[in-house]
Amino acid sequence: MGEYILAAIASLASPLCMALMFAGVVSGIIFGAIPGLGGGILTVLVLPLTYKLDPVIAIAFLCAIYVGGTSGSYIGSVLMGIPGDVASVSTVYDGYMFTKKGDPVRALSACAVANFIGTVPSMLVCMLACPVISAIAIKLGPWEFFALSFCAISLIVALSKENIFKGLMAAGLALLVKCIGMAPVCGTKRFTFGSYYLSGGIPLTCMFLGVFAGSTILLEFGKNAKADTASLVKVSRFRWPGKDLAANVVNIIRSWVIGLLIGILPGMGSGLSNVVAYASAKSASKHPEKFGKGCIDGVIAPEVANNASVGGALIPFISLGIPGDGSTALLLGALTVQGVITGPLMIRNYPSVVYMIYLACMVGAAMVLIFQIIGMPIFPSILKIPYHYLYPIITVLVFLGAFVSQGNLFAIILTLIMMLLGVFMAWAGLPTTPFILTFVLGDLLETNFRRAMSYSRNGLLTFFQRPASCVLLIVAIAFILYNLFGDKVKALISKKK
Amino acid sequence: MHKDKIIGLVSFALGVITLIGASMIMVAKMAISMGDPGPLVFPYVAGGLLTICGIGLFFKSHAEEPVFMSRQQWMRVATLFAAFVGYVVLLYFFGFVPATPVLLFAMITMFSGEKKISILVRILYSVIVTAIIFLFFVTFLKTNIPQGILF
Repeated sequence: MGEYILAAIASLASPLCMALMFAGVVSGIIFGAIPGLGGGILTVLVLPLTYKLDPVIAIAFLCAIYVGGTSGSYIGSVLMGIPGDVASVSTVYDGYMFTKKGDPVRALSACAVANFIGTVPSMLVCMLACPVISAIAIKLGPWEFFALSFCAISLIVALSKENIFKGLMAAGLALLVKCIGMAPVCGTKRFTFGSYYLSGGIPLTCMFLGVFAGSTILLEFGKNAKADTASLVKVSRFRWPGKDLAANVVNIIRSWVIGLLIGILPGMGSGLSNVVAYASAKSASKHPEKFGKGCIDGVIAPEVANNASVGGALIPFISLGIPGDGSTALLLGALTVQGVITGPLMIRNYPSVVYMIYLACMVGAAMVLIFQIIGMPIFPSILKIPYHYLYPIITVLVFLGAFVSQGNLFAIILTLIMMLLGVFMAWAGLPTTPFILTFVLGDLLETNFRRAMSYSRNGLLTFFQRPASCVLLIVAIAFILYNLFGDKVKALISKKK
Repeated sequence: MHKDKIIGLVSFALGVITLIGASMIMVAKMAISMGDPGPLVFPYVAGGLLTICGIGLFFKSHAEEPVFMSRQQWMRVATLFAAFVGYVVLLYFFGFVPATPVLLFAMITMFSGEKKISILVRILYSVIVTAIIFLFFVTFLKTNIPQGILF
């Protein structure tokens, strides 16, 4: 372990790696802060740029973007009342009130430190937990891995509670897109229409670039919904929030635990943890009436929780190869592109990559804090970046990225088609997380299902004869059924009563 | 018709097409080991899932939803998409260097809307950004960029 940490430190200390990480952190914060973009889009955009980099350095760069993107989302929440990303939805309630009162620095400073407090300990937990979980996971067979992937997708689909059919449809669409190309295990060509280019399947980069980055640009242009930045206040220098932190020790610990635990659950990363942490902070507070009127407790809680989810989401990702949320699903895609095979053997086969993930996230968190301390006065300028200068550059990078990833123009055409799919999904209100996760886990799901069936004597029944697989499948099916029929059953019971 | 009903119909149609398509896939039996359900299972699962979701969405009770985008906004999306298609055509014939400034100029003009940006600034922006991206990809990353068949 020690030698890998030293090797990771040596790679991190190289000028190229430090420069890339700093660039990743700064650009992650900028993209995270701008409503409508988010760090995920930046990850997708830079993915093709990392092909030429050493995989370990590329991972450090991507982790820096991940941490920067998650951290930067509070800037919009505090200064404009519009979160840059779902990770900081709850920060709006109290953070924006500080801006209205004319003291945004107090909220911004608290957020900056809260982000750091959230990330670093969660990464330490991740570092300790992953080898233990991996050691257990190595003993699992294809039955358990199929059940695990199926359970992860089902939990995410079940989150689309307002319309579970849409969650299922998103998963079905991803599965269909994933079926294009050669089938795993036997190499049978499916839905390739005789095209040589399609036999390799829909490339991950084209899908990500089209569905997320490209369609966002199309929709932002269509809606013409540039946030009003005219009323942005001036922000002075960082102010150490010592008193606020000292008064919130219990709140910080509680929010951190909430963030970490929610981060571990598939699909429920920072987007949910900040909301739960805010609600818990409010209900446990001695002065809940102050929440929503500019209470610093309500700023610290969601910002600790959303960053604690970073370490939490990385635990199933590193130890099992199952991403914890949409952002880690993108990171998993990035690792796949770099040739890293994720799963329980990742720690054994790619220790340098794994330790780099841990260290890069921690160093990234420190860089984020330093940048936020020094750069706080320029935060309003980040939100004033004119879209008409930014979006054309992103567009060119989308097309060029697609070309670089495959080396042919067909990749660009595929990206265009994926853009239309992204626009359709947005119009239809299909959730993106089940789509990403199913696409990323599609191969794992199919390969393990077919292997498990080949090794089984009792066919499908074997999945229920193995305890771990049986429990996971029952949980997955119960979640789906509860969301499909739960409300009807409840209504029926209350009617009878 | 309610939007969710249309989505349901689309999902149903896509599901049925997938099921039909899956049934037409040629599978070499030699490649399938004993007990393996084969490569058609997941296409059938995807098709079945889409079909069921389509039926579910069609018959589910629907609440009123705000309009996603107006006709004018959809026209803006279509215009930008047409610009993207045009860019791909230019890339195919002329390559990255001549095509990219054209797209950048068109996009900055479209995105700036009522804000008046002088034509000189737009031209300079288009040329400089193209040059920076070109240098970054070709000189720094040493990657190939679209060359175009005419040059």
